[in-house]
Amino acid sequence: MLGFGADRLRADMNRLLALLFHQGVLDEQFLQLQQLQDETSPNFVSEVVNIYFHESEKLLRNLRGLLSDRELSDYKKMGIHLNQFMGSSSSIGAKRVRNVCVAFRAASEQNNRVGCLRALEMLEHEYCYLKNRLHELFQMEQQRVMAAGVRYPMQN
Amino acid sequence: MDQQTEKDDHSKVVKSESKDKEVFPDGMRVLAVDDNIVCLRMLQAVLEHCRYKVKAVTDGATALKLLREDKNNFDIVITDVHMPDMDGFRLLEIVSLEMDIPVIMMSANDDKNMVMKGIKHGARDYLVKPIRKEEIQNIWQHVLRQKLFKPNGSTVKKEITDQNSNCTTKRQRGQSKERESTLNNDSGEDISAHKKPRVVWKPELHKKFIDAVHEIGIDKAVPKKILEYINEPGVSRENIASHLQKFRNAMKKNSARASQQSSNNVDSNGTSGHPSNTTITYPKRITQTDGFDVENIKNLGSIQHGRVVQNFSFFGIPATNQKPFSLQSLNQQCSSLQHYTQVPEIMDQVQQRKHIPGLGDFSSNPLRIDTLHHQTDFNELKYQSFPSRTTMLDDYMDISSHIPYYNASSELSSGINFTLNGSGTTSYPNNICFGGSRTSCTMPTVASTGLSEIVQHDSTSGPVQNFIPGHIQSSNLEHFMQSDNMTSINHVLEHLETESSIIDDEDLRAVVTQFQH
Repeated sequence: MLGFGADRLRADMNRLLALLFHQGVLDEQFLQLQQLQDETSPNFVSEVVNIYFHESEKLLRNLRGLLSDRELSDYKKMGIHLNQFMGSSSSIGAKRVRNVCVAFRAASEQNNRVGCLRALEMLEHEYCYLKNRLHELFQMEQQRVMAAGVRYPMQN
Repeated sequence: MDQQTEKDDHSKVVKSESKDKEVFPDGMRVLAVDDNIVCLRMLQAVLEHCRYKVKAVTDGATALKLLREDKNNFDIVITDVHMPDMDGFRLLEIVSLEMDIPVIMMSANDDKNMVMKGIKHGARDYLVKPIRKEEIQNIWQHVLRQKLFKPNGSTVKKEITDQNSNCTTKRQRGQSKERESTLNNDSGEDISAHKKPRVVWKPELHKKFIDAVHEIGIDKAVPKKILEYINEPGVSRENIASHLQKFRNAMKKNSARASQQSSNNVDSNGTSGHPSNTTITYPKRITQTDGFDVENIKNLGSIQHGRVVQNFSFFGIPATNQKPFSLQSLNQQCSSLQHYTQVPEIMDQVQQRKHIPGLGDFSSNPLRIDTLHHQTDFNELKYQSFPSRTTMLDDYMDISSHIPYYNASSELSSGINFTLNGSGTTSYPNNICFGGSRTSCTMPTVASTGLSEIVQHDSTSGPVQNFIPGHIQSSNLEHFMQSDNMTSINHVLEHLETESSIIDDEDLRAVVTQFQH
């Protein structure tokens, strides 16, 4: 019974991943990330993604702070933050977040405050969507491992 | 003790160490630098997946500190471009100047100018994020290339086994100095603003250097003396020392190659440069000199370094003669090359002319003419189809109207010298070329005049193509056929021969055949 649960969870995970790929939220770099997870680092994906969440939230806060200063926004610093965001997003395969970062950076290079604000909103939205979906994925993964773990001693 | 430190070093650097026996590039030590910890974690995982040993740091200053502690701790550095405090370019610059470690840059920014800047600063590669395993899997080639093309020619395996020994440290220190100068050549102004000006070894300067070394003698040439000889502002003793080191390494490499190849036919070499001792080997030489061929002489302008060098090793010095740094041995090689290439021609000339008085040119070199007389026996076999001496003489008289060719051919021979010397004036980055240029620079004048002599003689038998013995033979035959001084019996025989096929009368044919034999 529990074994079936594990299989079902795996199927659900695959469906969710397929959806995220289809929506362009993730790209093949996420598969690279998954491939790097092996016996020596069983939680590699969630480890890296959690670092990513942590870093991204810091960056989003900083970007919000830079844009909230109505008079003089430091666009150069914004560009540096956005480069960081782009680098980390592309590393985990967060394709849509990365694309919004590119647009954001273009706006910041033109000192386009309105464009930057709009881009920041989009970025926050995309980031939240990604975060929720990935959390969903990791929860399923945890349940699957647990389910598989329970089944294992039963067979012995 | 040594082992202990080695262990310490590794445990400091390495996070995951496999106990399996490692084959390059497994266990290659990589220093990964990125301020973006997501990327860094990812990169580290990819590197570890490729079985490299990774030390990951988040800023350039720490990276530099680690590298300066012991630059032998790492085989390669991968660094992000955008970093606070010290960015990737700065790190790359310092690493390039201070140590001999290949650096790969990476960035999320795939802007063409950034890539250009990275490569110009001396980055071995520029990776655009996201980092993929396929790219990282291949980075060992930069380490291999670095080690293979070191002037000292140490192999990677050796390098890896004694990477912590003092010997390597010393060697790498020497190389890092050299790399500084080469890097400067490559990247030009961008970097040179930050450091003292460096000498670019232009062809003219290299020529001066060669002249100086030649003048002083390679064994006695020390940077100070060369500096005095060159007397060029902006060239310091250190510059010359490094260049001399490179030059010597190139020579060593080259002569090692030559001896390796010559060892295959040492038995036939005898004492090179003295053809008289090796009479029997000439048939072999002829085939080899055919390899040296007319093409080379025809395409004077396009004689390549590689070809020249190859030809030197073709006639390589016998092992006993060989001194790695001796100019003499190379001179000998050089002159022996010339002797040998000429031998077939000389033989032909002598074959035709030895009864002709007044051929003063050859008597100037008794050694050579002796040799050549020895050769006549052998050559008679080759030329057995030739007619009697009288016709030869006539033939020769006939050709004497071709005298204007003399001028053409002497021009040609000087062209040869020019080309070889010309190669000496150009400095090439390739090591082999140093050897080639040196030998050509020091080409003995005796040998080259000898060459022009022979070329002149040879030209009597026709245009340039006749340098090959076989060609001379056929052209002589032609002259002979055209000659009016054929004996009458030859005429008759020839006539009868052509006629005999259509003669019906059996008796007459019998008579004719009898006559022919």
